[in-house]
Amino acid sequence: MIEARLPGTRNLHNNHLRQDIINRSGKSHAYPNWCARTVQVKDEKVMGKPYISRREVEHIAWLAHIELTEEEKELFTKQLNEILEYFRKIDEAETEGVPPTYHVLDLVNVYREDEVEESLPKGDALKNAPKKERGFFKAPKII
Amino acid sequence: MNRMPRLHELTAKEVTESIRSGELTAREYISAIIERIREVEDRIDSFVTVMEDEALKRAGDIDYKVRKGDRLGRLCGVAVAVKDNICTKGIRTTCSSRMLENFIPPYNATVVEKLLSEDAIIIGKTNMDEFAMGSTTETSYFGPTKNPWDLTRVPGGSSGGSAASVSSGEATVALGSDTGGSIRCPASYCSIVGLKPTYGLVSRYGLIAYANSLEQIGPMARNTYDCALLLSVIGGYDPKDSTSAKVEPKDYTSSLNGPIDGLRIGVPEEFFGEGTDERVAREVWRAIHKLEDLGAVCEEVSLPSLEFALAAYYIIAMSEASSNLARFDGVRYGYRVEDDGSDWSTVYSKNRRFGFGPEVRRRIILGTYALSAGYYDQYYLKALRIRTLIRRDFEKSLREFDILAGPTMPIPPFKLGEKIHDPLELYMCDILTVPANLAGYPAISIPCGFIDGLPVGLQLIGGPFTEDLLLRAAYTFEGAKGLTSIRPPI
Repeated sequence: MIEARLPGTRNLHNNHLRQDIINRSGKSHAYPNWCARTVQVKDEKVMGKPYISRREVEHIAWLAHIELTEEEKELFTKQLNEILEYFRKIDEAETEGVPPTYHVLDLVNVYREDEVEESLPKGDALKNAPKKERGFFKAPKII
Repeated sequence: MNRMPRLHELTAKEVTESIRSGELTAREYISAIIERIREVEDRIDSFVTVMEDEALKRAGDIDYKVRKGDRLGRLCGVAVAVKDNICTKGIRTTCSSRMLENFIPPYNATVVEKLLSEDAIIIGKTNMDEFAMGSTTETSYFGPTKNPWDLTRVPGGSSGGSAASVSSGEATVALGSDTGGSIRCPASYCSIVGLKPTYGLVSRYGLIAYANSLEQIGPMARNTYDCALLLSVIGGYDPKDSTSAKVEPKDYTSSLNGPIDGLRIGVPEEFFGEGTDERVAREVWRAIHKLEDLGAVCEEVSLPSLEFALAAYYIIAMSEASSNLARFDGVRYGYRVEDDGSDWSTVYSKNRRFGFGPEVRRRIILGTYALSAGYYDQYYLKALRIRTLIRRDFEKSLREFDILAGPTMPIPPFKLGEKIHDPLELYMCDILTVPANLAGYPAISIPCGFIDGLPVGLQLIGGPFTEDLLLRAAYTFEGAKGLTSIRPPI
């Protein structure tokens, strides 16, 4: 194998450099700030201009069909604001003209032959249903 | 000082060899494993379900095959612990959630079929963070698993039960799943070997989905050989999983002994940023220098886009989760509240309120938000563009280097309850493991040292389908460092 060197990288075979690197590890000055301690949320900011309001949390929870208690609405609003504040980190990334990667494999559509295969017996399919009636799943009232 | 290893301490290689040669019966071995589970399980809580009777019966079947002189599978008699988000026919599969507390799958995951066809014995279903959402196993509906090295600390997660069971000798090997580090994190914290395969190498058919574009099932073991053996069994194309890659199964044990002379190792400087504990950094650098002594050539490299990896990962994972978990309606399966004549929407919302724990609900709500009109471009689409940048950075650095090395976890195992009330702080623990999932690249965590008796893991990341290279580097390192013989004091 050929030893390659990237611009800006150092050769670690140099023993005095090794020590230097060990000493530097864990200290921040040479490295980008991107870890836990640097993203402490400033309370004033969240209080002043929330990313998501309590009403929005209620609305999104309704969209997701998840009932929340009053205390949870309060707690989630606070926690979601902290998390969203961190998420806004992505705004700093330069992504103009960069295509999105939805999936790492370049899959388009995967087809199989349209042949009838053995399927799950009805009894097995119904086995885990909390409520069933005459061979059907029993759903809550819809209309 | 040289004591005979107890039966439950045997490696998969030793178990299969002893059963083949007739020195050991599968029943003797499985009985010893069950004995070990009885000895330690009430302190560790690795399992949601222990399959004592099934395992003993299967052991009897394997012994019968031995007596008849039938062909024996590559995992004959090996006790495999299976993470409880992987479907096992007739055995409840809960995802450590109240939602699936009583769910009994009517079919096997492809990986389970493969285990059984190689005469493995499934010993139980392991505890995990609910729906694999967590890094500590504390979000499990059934309560946390404890770290065998220090019972007051987290075992890592989400495959914490799998890691703890293997580490403490309650199983020979285990299957975990890794969406953002869920195999490597607990492997690191419990001082075992854990590998997240290249996306598509292992079938996900029968894995209960959390974030399907990121997750892979992978092997966990006490040493690299066993890890390679288990991967050889579970890898390969599966027509039942349309996202599985068209690759032939491979025997990863046969290439372990190759040389690593001249292996080019890149060390991303971003892996040693401010959040990485100095003591962890020191142990990992020591390991990297060990690899140099063994013939590898190491240099520092920079992957600038890693700065955005954690935020992009969580946005994508939560978005996919909000869609994947919409299926849990409490109608076809899953938790259902008492019917008080309410309409569908109310019942559905209540099923999900009582069926899911707080972290699962938080992620579904955030994912729904990131995908909703007005925020889609700002969060989800932006995160997907960053994913492209991260892939490009990996592609570039892996043209210069064969593999990348760094810590698996930025901090040593912490106390149970220490971080669980601050979701964001917990997310930060995944900062070094999520990049490999975003890129779809394989990554392994191997034991590399201890800090005050607590394990530290070395992470190696390679290009697509270079598992053989990662395993060879791990195997060579392991042989030189000799850490696998050190077992937890339980």
